[in-house]
Amino acid sequence: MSLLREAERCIANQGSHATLNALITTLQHLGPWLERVRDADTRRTQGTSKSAVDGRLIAIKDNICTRDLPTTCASNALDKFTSPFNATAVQQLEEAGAIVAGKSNLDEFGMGSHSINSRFGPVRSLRRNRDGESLSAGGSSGGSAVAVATAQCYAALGTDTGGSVRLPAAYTGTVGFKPSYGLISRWGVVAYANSLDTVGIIGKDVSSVREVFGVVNRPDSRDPTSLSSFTRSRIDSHLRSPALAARATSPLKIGVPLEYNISELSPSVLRAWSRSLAYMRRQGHTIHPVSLPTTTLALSAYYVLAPAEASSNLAKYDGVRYGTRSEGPNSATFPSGYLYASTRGVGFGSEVKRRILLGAFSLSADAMDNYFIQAQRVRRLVQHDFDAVFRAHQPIASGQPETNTNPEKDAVDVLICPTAPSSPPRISSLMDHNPRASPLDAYMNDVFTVPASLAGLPAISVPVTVESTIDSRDADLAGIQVIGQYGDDSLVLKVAELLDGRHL
Amino acid sequence: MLKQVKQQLDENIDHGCAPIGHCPFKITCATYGYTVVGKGTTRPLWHQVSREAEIYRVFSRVQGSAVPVFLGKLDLDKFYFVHGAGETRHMLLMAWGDESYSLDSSPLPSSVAIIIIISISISINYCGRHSATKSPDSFSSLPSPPSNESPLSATTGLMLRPWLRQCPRATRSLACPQCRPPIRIRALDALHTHTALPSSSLSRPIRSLQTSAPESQDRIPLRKQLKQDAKAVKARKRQTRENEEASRGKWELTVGIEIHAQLNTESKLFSRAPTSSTDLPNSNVALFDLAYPGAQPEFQIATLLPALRAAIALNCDVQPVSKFDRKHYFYQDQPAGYQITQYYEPFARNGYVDLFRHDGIAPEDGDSVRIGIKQVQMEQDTAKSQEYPPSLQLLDFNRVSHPLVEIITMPQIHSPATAAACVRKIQAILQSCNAVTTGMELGGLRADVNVSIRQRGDAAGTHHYGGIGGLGQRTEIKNLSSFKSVEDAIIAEKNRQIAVLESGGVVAGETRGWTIGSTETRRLRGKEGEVDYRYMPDPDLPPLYIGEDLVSELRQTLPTSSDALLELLAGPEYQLPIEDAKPLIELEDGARLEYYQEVVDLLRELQQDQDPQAQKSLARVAGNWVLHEVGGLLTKAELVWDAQRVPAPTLAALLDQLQRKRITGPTARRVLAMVFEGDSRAIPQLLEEENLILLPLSREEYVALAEAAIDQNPAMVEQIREKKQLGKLGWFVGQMMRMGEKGRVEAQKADAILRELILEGRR
Repeated sequence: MSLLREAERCIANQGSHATLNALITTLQHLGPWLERVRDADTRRTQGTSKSAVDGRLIAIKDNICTRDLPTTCASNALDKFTSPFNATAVQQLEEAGAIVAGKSNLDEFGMGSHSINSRFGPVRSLRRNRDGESLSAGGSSGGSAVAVATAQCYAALGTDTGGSVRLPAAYTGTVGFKPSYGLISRWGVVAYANSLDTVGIIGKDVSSVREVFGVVNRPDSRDPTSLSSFTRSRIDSHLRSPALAARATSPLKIGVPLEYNISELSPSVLRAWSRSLAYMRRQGHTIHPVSLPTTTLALSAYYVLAPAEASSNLAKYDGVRYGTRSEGPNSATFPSGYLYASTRGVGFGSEVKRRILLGAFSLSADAMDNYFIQAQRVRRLVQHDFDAVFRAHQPIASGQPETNTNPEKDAVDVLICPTAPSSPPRISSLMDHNPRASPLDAYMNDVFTVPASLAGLPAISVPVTVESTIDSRDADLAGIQVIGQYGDDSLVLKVAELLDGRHL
Repeated sequence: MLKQVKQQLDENIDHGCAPIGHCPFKITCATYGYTVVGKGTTRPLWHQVSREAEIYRVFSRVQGSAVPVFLGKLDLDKFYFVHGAGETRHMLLMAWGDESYSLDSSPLPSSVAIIIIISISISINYCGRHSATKSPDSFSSLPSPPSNESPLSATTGLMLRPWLRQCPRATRSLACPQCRPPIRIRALDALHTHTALPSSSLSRPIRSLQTSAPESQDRIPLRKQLKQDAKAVKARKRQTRENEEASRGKWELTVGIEIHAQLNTESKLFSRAPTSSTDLPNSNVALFDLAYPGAQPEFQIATLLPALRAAIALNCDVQPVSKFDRKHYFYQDQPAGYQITQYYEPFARNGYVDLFRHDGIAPEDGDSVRIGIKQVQMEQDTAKSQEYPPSLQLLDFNRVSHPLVEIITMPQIHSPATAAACVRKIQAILQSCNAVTTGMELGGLRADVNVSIRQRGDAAGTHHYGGIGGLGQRTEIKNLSSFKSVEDAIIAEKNRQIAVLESGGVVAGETRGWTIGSTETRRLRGKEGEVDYRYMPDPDLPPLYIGEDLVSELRQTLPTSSDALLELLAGPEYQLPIEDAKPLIELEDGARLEYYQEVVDLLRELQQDQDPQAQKSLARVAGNWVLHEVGGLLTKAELVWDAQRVPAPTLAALLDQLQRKRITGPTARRVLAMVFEGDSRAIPQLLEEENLILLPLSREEYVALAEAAIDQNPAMVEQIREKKQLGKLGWFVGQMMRMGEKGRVEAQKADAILRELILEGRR
């Protein structure tokens, strides 16, 4: 199929799936993109493609800046905002010949687990439960995941702060990859919690994810947290050390974190997990139970740290220099001290306000020690937990030991666990008018994804299908997560490929 | 007094001098404590403004009643930069109106001083330029005076009434209270009617004015009045001083200072945007400076260099690892909603600054005092905001993220004068190591002071700051922008706290403000309104690692500290008086010192054959000429320093001739002036051609001159003989020099002859 044909199909799907609300801004049917795809087709026939994504349509989560399309973050505050510049990742994709397929819907500023906190309305998944009720697309990159799942684009960029790429991938049956922190530039990615924010990739399979990753996995001097070429080559040579290079050919040691076997785990997810492990064993790999004792604290730590950084990052939306400014008496009465109250009151949705308040509280002088500082300690412990179980050492940790590997004989190469503890909930059960819906329930969905975010580790969610034991015609879809040591992104993608789309 | 004020301001332009608004200055003469108004102006405008001085002379009779008392003109060595007005180099001095009448307490938008000046400029329009009367409408922009005054003629009433009404003290001190009203009204009428004549020449209104203002019979002579006033001021000063001393005995003041200084860098702290502040508003801004979504900071390593120079010059330990934190508060000049600073781990700690007597510390601090520096941190500046009430604010983001250093001293200062000296000294240190752009006078430096008091000998206070315990509750006074205001604000705040405590109250921990010229600090916000800055490590910025090699490299290339230079110049090798050494070091960023050094070296070489005793004084002589003689010519010609104007070898050659007594002092001055004016002949040739070499007078010639002088003034000779008024000998020396051939009479010899003739009675 020609690239042009494929692109036209994507555009057609954008139209036919408009009700899913996956994209906030879509591509016009006729536009300069047509010419660029035709050129890419020509290059492909001549064998001179710019990259693996030359001529492909890639959707961009609407908290990643694009110069040509608005960047709203699904917020009233940036309702009509168009950034004056392209994010580095967008720039790199365009230079590689890819076309921005549109801006995908999300939870406002990336805050949410179901993509329902959007100024442009909730994202809807194609998936329905047995009673035909709409299910959550997951969040916050739900728009990107649904756009991929319904072929409105070839692949999509999302952002993953505590699971925002992996969770929607798991809920929509797509592949969602969060690379190691610092590999993909965050320049132009609207910050939610800088120390956790990672650009992630959603694709229909691992190979398309790998193609996109190959383009955006580059150093960028404009992002102070982007790994320099020097550090990258240090990691490379670390991975090329004999003990670690051998993993390419010999059987892998796969870890199963015992603490992830929680009572809330739904039977179908548990089944998908155990069958995935069984499948891996059949492939000749070995399975090892491991312990990550601070896992239970990780979620609490995350919901202290992320809102703290968010309350700081979102202080800039005051309507003075850009964005929406609310009209009304408050804007004019400077001396009263309420200059921004109205603008920010109208600009932010309830979940964003909740997290700003949480963050402002945990950073306040009296609460700082009990919350923010404690959470940072927990974060450090979570990292130690991972370092203790992985065979490869953290390659850029300070006080690096002489060896490249963990002397512990049970140390593992990757961890395999579920992405989410249950299958996607019904959208109706999540909406505000449901008296039993508490924001804490939504936070619970991140329990398996947050630890890798806190440690900055590469993690990917791949869909596996499991025959239902009750009714063999019905199959359960679940996301299985592969987590690797920092910098071990290739290994994570490789293991993910083994499981991707398996019918187990 | 004019001279004293000039000397005082030439020494330190901030000493007792603070602008009120744009061009008027409040000047306090340090010697007598007089407060006067200086109308400052720039060089280009001086020509016009100096005409006012002439007008005042014309109005000499009505000064103090219809127009303010005019004290004289002032040409300054240094300039005072006032934003929006430029470099103030000249001043008209006038009597000060009323102290309690200050900017913020006034219902009018401008101060008395401004009103005075407006009235003066109007009088220029009337008499100086022979123009027709301006219509009253043209003054409608002036603040209208309070309305319960008896009606005067419309134009002049509007013009002068605010001054008269609001400033009773000025008129009281200079004219008899009883006769003031009639004079005032008549003077005004005269001013009005006569100056309004369109064809009147300059002289006519003068004459009319003089005749139409009747002299009051019971008026106390001006000189006497001034003397009485000075006495009263002195008494008042003494009283305050005594009170101060009493309260100092009882209460101990403790002050800590935070100084924010703009670093001298090309780029901003976290973006590549240039730091120029003079460019078009909002032209030097990067995406990050405006806090655009998705933009990230890019630390500019070069900005670290001036910061490190500052830290090293302040004797700090540079920290191998430091970090950046976010300080949150909402304000429109703060685009990100937070300022990036170094709260938890600053880049430099544990420094100190030594203050000496000549730095202006308080007498009770003795010869020197060492003030610890707790830490130095880098941070971002904010945007410049201009307020146009009621609802317009203009923002210029050019300044946003300009790198600043914040220098926090230990609370180890115990007197207001020492606090001001500390700020002055830190500014001088920052400037000498080229760490900062400008000083306080240009807004490049701002200070916040923390003030607390505790009773001496009493149970220790319960508060501790900067690791020092036992202190009283402190208050913070924010944003002080001159050395004078640092001192005044601390005095005012100390007195306020003492008053609160002595009346049984409790000092509240709060933030207070200070307005130049006021006598009280005012509350900005209390504890309940205190901002919780929610400091958080910046998650985008990695820690800053500073290598010891960089620090030692900078330490080696740092210029010698001014303290060390001062010690050298005042030491046995140069023997300069401290008050000469200081300006030599400070003038023209060291260029004057460099020139001086060259002159001394050359002069010493030329004088090698002279006796060692004479050689010792060479540096001192050279200092005098470089600083005062060359400096005086520069001031007179209103020129800026140029080492080539009088090349160092030329000055050395001239001084060599003087030291060898081949020319007299006055001749040397004359030659210097000629060289200064562009005479490029070599000194020996010049002296030769102009016939300036001293031909010593014979003893007979001296005797003849002396006798001639004595004969003309027998009475004075008697006074010298009878009353031993030896000082009057000098007057005779002057007479002889005037009578003798120019440049040939040597004062010493003349004095010797006079003594011989008058005292020893040889005649």
